[in-house]
Amino acid sequence: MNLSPEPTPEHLQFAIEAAELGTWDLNPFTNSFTCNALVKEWFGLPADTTFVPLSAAVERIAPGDQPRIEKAIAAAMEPDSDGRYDVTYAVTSAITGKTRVLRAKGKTLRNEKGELIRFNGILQDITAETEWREQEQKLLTLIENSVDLMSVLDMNGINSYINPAGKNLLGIPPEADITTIPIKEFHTPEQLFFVETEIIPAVMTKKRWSGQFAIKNGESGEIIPLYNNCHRIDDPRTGEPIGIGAVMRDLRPELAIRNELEKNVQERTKELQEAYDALEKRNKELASFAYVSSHDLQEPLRKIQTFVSRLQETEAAQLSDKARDYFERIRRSANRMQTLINDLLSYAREDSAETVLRPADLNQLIAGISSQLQEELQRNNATLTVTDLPVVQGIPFQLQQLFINLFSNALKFARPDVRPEIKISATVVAGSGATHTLPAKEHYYHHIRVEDNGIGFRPEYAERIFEVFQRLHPKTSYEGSGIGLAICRKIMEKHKGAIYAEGQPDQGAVFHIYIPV
Amino acid sequence: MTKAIHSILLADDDEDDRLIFLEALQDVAGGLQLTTVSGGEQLMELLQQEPPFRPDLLFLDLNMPCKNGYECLQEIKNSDDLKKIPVIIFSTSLQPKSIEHVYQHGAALYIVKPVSFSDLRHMLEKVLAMDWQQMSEQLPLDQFIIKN
Repeated sequence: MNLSPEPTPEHLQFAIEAAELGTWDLNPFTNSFTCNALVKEWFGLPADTTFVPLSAAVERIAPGDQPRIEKAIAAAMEPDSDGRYDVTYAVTSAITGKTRVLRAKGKTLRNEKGELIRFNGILQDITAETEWREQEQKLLTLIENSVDLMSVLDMNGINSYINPAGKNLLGIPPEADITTIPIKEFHTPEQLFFVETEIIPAVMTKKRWSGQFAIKNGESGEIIPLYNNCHRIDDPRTGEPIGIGAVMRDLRPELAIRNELEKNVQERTKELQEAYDALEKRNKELASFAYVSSHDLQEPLRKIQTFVSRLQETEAAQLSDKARDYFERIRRSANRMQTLINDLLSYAREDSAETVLRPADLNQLIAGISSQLQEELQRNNATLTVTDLPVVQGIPFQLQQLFINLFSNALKFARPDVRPEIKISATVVAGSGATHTLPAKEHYYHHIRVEDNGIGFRPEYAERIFEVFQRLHPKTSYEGSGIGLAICRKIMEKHKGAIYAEGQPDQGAVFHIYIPV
Repeated sequence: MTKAIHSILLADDDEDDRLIFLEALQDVAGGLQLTTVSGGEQLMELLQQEPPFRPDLLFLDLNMPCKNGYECLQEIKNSDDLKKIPVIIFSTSLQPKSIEHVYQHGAALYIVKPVSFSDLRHMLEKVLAMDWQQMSEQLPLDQFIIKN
């Protein structure tokens, strides 16, 4: 082993190979060069050639780089230049087709007359480094242009990087050297305490921390709410933590939108509540108007009835036939008016009635009604057929009213020569699957059919019969005020259910009742 | 049957109703003493005067100006002197809430003012036939209301 302190050419050759460097040596007189095996491999030159024409090398250089390289070579060889040569270019091997990025460095050598005698130097493969730098450039472009604050806090407690958005949020001038600013400048004492006692320990032990956070803008003093997402950055070699990377999003726009939305919702809610209150007040007024007016109308009417009946009973002998007839007509009209007022009164009463739902066994309810109507059923020679009915959630006395109205209608509108038959049956249907429109598609309903074999009605009247005071027949043919079905509908509305009618002239009517299960 | 009842007091602001009541009562039981007052305040004055006036039955209209029937009923039933007087509510309307209210406050009967004169007579006969001396307790709610 040669232990001479001066490196021998062999030593240098060994070092060059170990460093994976290419070497080249251009003869300016022949414009050809010699080079080591690595250069030949990179350019794809035949391994056995000793003197390579410069043009053979230049043509392997990427066309875009060629003019620049030629110029740089020429410039280095200019008599009045410093002779230095330092360029980077891409070269594609003529044999393997592989492209590399190379960095060439060289220097010219002149004799004492100033004549160029040699031009040599080295080549370094920087492909990997270039690619990495490109990658880094892409990421850096993202980071530098991000609207979120991005920063790296080193283990010494100093920020080594803050992106422009971050500087803007923190109120730091773009050109400021952030490494000289201690992080306490960015926080209130409470926040700093939180960073030191919560965030940093969490990141160190669990590798990350995220949550709502705030910073202080150094310029304006504004406290800015942020969503902070921190990660521990580890040394890829040792695995030891080397810093904390933070990405923080300014929450002000989001909070502003949220506040705006909340304000809107509150305003809308208030408007709705006001509209609802007004409507409820109006409804109450209407209900009490209907109630008071019909109640007060009863008084004078009752007196007309009483005095007429008094006359008819006690003074009949003194009256002419004509007068007796007139009194009878007065009595009938007054009776009819009383029916109207009573019905109107009960219609108005449905509004103010309480709406507490209780279980109601429809079998029992119908049995009760049929015994109540027994006399009427017998008089009309009617039959009532009931199949098994459900227990529903309802207001029993209202449901009773509903069925009484429907049965009375069936008896009232019987065909003259046909024995009235009323049939009641029940099934359960889905709100979305019923033939009728129901209040809630997602609910299930008891569907109760009340079917009769009476005079029916024309299908186009199926809706109108539920309106107040709507009658399909002259009042001389059928008694009633035309309010019974309106009450039925109101009752079903109170039950959040529905009622529909279906009919054909002389083919009976079917009433469909839907009560939520 | 009517032995127990000697005097009846009617409180009703409606003059026509007082007249019809009087005529019907004369038809049914001519010998009975009927006193009428035209309002709640007059009623309470009459009941509180000296010497005390105590009717065997009180027919009380609900809807009266100033002091209405509800207030009178409450005052009567809250007074140890007066609470023994049977109070029969005599009203035009048939309102579930008011029925419940007067029943709870100790009214003896709720009568809906009949429409025909003969019904009124019939109703009075029925009421006078009841054994008011024996009726220390209130009737059950389902028998409390008399409609015609």
